[in-house]
Amino acid sequence: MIEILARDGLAREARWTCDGLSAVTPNILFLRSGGLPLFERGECYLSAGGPVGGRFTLSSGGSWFLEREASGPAPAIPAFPNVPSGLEARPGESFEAALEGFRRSGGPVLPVPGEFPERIEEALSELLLFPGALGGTLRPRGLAADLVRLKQAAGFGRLVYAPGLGDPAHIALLAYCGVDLLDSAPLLAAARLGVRLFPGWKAHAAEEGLCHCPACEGGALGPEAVYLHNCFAALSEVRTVRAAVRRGRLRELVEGRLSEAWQVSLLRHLDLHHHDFCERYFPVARPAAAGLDALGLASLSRPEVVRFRRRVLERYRRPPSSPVLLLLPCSARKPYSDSLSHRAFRAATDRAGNPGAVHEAVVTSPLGIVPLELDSIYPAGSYDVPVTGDWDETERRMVSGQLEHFVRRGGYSAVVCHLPGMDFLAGALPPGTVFTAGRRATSPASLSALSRALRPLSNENGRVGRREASRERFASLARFQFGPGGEALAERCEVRRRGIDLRVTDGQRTQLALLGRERGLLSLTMEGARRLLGRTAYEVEIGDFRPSGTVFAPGVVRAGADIRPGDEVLVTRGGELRGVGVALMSAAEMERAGRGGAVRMRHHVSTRGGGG
Amino acid sequence: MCGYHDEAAPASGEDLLHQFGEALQRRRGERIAKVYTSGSFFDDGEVPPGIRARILGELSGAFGRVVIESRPVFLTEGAVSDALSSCPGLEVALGLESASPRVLERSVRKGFTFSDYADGATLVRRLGGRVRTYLLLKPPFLTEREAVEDAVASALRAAPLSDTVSLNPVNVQRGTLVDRLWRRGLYRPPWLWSAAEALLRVRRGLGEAAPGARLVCAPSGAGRRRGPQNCGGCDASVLSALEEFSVSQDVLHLEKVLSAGCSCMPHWRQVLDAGAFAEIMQDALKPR
Repeated sequence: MIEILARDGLAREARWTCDGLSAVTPNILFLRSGGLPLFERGECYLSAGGPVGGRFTLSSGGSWFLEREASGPAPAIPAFPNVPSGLEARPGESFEAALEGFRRSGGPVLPVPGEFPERIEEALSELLLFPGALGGTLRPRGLAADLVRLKQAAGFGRLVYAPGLGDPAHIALLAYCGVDLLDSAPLLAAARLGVRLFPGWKAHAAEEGLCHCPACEGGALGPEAVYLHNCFAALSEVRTVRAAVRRGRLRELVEGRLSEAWQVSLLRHLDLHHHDFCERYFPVARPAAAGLDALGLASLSRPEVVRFRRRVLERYRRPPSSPVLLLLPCSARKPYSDSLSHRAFRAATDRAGNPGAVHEAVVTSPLGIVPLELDSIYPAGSYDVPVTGDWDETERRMVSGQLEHFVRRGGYSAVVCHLPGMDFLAGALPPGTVFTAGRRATSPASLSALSRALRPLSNENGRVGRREASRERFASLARFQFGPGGEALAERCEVRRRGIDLRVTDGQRTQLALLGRERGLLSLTMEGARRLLGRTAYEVEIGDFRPSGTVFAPGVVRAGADIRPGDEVLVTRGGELRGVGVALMSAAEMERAGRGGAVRMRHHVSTRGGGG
Repeated sequence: MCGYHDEAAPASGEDLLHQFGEALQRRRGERIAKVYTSGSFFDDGEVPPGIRARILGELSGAFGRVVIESRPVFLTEGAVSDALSSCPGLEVALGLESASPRVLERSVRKGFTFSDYADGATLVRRLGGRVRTYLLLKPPFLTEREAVEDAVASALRAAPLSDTVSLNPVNVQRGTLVDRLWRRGLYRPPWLWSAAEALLRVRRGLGEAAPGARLVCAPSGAGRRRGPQNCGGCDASVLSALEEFSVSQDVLHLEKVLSAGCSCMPHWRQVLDAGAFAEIMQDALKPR
C-alpha cells in the first residue's frame, strides 16, 4: 500500500507498506548479498540473500537469462531481461517478458525495461522498476523524455525505482524527476575506486579531515569504510530531500546540488521541453515560509515561475479604468506594497492627483512583470532574488519580451517608466514613454519627477474613484486566479483591507472572499463560490454525496484541467454547489488516483441534506 | 558481437576455388588448416557440394588436421559423410555460444537451439568426425556474474558432445549491437579473470576421471580497450596462463595466476558479487 505523505512537484514523500513492513521514500535500497559489505543503518534494502531483520527488504529477482528460480520473501522483483530500450530484437519484447514475470510472481514490482507502452494498467503493481535511468545519465535529453513518459505511463500512486542510481549528488534531482527509490550500487562502485561521495562533490579516501560521519572517524579508509561513508552520505541526503519535499523547498535544493553537466542538462530539458507536463504537478501556492529563492539562471525556467509569467500574459487583464501604466522596480520586502520604496512611490502617485487611473506594475526577475494587485499571489508574494543591479542577458531578454507583450496587450494610453538603470528595456517600450527614475528611484528628485509626469497623464480621462479602482483591481486578481469567469466575484463588491488581509464583501454584509497574505490566493466563502458557479474551470465534480472534511480522489468524477495543488476549487454535483475547498492534488491526479485526499473542504452545504 | 554481418560479398564456386588456391600456396607446410568461411561450409548456397569435396580433398592430403565451421542445420548425414570420406578426421566447428535458451534467443539471437546443436554434434561424431564447440564469454545484456555462470554451465553441457570446447571472451567489434551498448556506457568486455575462473571451474567440473573435451581460450583483442581486459597491470600474465592452460590442459596454470592475484582482483570479485543484482546494469556503474 502506498500513502502519499507530501508532494512537491513530481516528487513526493510516500510510505510504502508491504507485509507489515514499510519504507518512507525517497530512499536508498542498500544492497545486501554475500561478499558485499552491509550497511546496517539503512532504512530499506535490496537483498540477494534473504530479508534484513525487521527492515523493509526488496528481494532481487536474480538472473532472467540463467533461469534460476527466484527465491525470497515478497516483495520480490521478478527476474526480467534487462535489455536497454532501442536494442531489443523487437520493440516491447523485454517489457512483455517482464510483464509475464510480474504476473507470475504475484508481487508488487513491475520491471519496465526496453520499450514500454503509453499506459501501464497492471493494477497490482505498486513499484515500477526502471533500469533505463542509469544509462540515461549519459544522454539527458532522452532521459528527460523517458522519465516524463514513465510518469505518464505510471499514473499516480505508484513508486518508481531507478536501479544503479543513488550517488548523493544525484538524489535530489532524481527525486525531483519523480524517482522514489534508488540503490547503493553506485556507492559501492565509487568505493571500489576509493572515491568518497558527498552531495555535490567527491573526495578521495586519502583526504583526511573532510567528514565526520561514523565511517570516516576511524582515520585511514579502506574500501569498505569508503562504502559505508558513501552510504551515510546517501542516507543523510535522502532524509534532507524528504524534508525539502515537506517544506516545498525541493527545487531550491536541486538547484543547489547541481554539480555535473548532465544534471543541468536534465533539469533544463525538463524545464524547457516538458514544461506543460511538469507544471501540472507544481502547487500554485506555498506557505510564505517556503518562499521561492530564484538564485541562479535555472530559476528563470522553473515551472511555477514560467506559469506565473504565462498567466500574466494570457489570463490577466488590466483594470479598465487605469490606462496609465507605471513601471516600478521590485523591492526586497514582499509583498512589494509593504516596502518603504513602494510606499514612497504610492505617495508620489497620490500627489499626482488621480491614483486610480494609474496601473502600477513591477518589473522583476524571474517573474517578468507583476501587476501590483497580484503582489501577494505566489510566487510574487514570497520570492527572493539576488539584486546587484546587473541584468544578465537571459534575464534582459525575458523581461523585455514579457514587458513588450504586456504593454501591447494592456492597450495603455501612456507608459511611465520609473526604473533606474534599465535602459535595456527602452526597445520594449512604446514611443512616448516617460522616464522618471533618474539614478535612484526613491530620491526626492526622482519621486517628484514621477508626480510631475503622472499629473497630466493620469488626469486626462477624468477622476477614478478609489472604491472603483480597488474593485477593478480585485476583478483582475480574481480573473488571474479563476480565469475570465472570476470577474463575476467582483461585481458590485467592496474591498477592504483588514490587517494584512484583503476582505471582499458584496457591499452589504456578506463576505465573498478573503485574500490571506499567508496563503497568497483568494479563499472563497460559499457566497463567493456561488457567484463563480458554472463560470470557472476550477470546479471539481464529485459523486452523489455531501462532502465535509476531505473529498478523496475516488469520490471525484471530473476536475477542471487547470486545477493544481493549492488551488481554491468549487466542489459540485450536477451543477449544484456542494462546497468550496483547497485542491490537494492536480486535476489529473484527482481523476486518476485510486486514493488520497483530493480537496480539503473549507465550507460545505449541510451534510444532513437540504442544501445551501 | 559478430562484426562480419555487413562484410559479405557474392562469390561463385570458381571464385572460391581461386581464393582457396591462393591461400593454399601461402600456407603449405603448416600442421592444421582451418577453413573459416564466417558462415557454413556445409551450406550448399555458400560452398557448392562439388567445390566442397575438392577443397576438402586437397586439404586432407596437405594437413594433419582440417577444421571447417558450420551451423548445425546444414549437417545432414549425406553431406557430413561425403565430407568425411574426402577428409577423414575432419573437425567441424559449431558456434553454440551458449547452452541457455534465453541467452541464445535474446542475447545472441542465434536462431537455433541447444538440441539442434547436440543433434549436429552427435551426427558428426557418429560418422567419425571431430567436434569443436565455440562458446561466448559475456554476450550482451548479461552481468559479469551471469556471464561466468553461463559460460560454465554451457561448457559443462557442451563438453561431452565435443572434442574441443573453445571459450571466446567477447570483444567489441565496430557496427555491432555490443558496440552500441559499449558506446552508451552499458557494456564492459569481460575480465580476463572471468575467463580464467570459468575455465578452471569447467575443467574441475568435468573431473579427471572424465576428461572429456579439451578446453581452449585464445582471447582476441585482450588487454585492448575493446577487448577482454583486467586492470592493465596483470593482463599479460593472465593471458599467458590462459594460453599455457589451453596447450597443456593443466589447471595448475590457472590456479597459479588466480592465487597470485592482483590489486584489481578484489574489484573483480566485487563486480561478480554485485552481479547477483541483475536488475542493475552493473557495467554502467562508472563513477564520473
